Amino acid sequence: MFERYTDMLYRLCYSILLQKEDAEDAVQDVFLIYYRKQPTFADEDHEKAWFIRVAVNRCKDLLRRNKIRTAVPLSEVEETLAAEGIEHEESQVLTAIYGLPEKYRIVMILHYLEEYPIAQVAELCKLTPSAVKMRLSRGREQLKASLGREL
Amino acid sequence: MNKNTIDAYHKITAPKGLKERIEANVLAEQEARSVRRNRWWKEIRMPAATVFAAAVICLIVWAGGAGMSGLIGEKPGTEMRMGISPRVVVMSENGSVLGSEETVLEVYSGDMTDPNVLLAGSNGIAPAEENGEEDSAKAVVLQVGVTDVSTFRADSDALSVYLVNEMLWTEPCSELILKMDGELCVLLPAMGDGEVFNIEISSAETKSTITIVYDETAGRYLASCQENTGK
Repeated sequence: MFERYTDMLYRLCYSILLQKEDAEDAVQDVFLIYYRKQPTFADEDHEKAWFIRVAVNRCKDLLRRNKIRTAVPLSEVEETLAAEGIEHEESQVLTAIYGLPEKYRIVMILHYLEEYPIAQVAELCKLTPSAVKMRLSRGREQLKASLGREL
Repeated sequence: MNKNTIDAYHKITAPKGLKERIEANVLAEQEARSVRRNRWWKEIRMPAATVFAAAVICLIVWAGGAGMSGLIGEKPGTEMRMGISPRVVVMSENGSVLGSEETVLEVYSGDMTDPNVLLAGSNGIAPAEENGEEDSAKAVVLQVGVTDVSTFRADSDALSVYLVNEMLWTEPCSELILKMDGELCVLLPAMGDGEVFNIEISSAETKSTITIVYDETAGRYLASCQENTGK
């Protein structure tokens, strides 16, 4: 279980929280919630969706509690990405996504980077598919403005 | 999205030692639970003499109590009722008790089926204008103090209940049967102008109906609670 989901959950939590330590705490909390509740799943997709949903909720909770810490300088994010061995050219779009407001960032990561279809993103974020489409469109507009080009 | 970006995203991995740290913490919790269970088991494995002494003490205490309440001796056959009567208290988020008069409820925005919103709700949720989620559903949260409630019924399938002490919330539904004491939040869906949402909370002896109406012109929810104790 740890092997299968730790990296994926850490990536997701880091993308939402933009703080390594907070992301580590969030991932740990997700596994503790899993252990305490011991939910049963119909299949592997259901299991993965559960982990993602709990992780997103946990991150939102942390953001709500630490409102002051939500503004992370993008230079700090760039440093973290560089430390992960990601070249500057590769990380440009990713950094721009991380610079988006949280509500656009989460749906963009789930749809474009985790490659979930819109209907499933809607289910994971408890939104309607039209709200997800709207957030994706607004997120793309903001990305276009910050990068000065289409994706 | 560019393939390079997706590849770059997947290069982010958990720091070394995180898996081990999580595994160790989960195991520690597992062990702590097991110790608690074992301790409880050891405590009830008392020597026979202790069990006998405890039984004698219980008998004496029961006989004393029953004698004082008139069950033994003076009035044979008298019905004895103990415990607290089931009751329902409905409070708005600021803690004021809703009576038969209409009460204005605070309106919150956000996804009320999100357990974290509800956790935040128990400490007070930020009002809609501060939340910034302009496209999310609006909902109201009622805090309901209950004792021995058995059934919740709503007139749509949007009823959701958050059990404060259990850190648990239910999926939206139209009927819930709960056997519990304690405090819980009843969550209501977004409503249109003049739309009425009724929740009936009934137990073995009481039935209360909470009626919520949304007044769009005034931009507020009104709630009233009617109690019928003689069910």
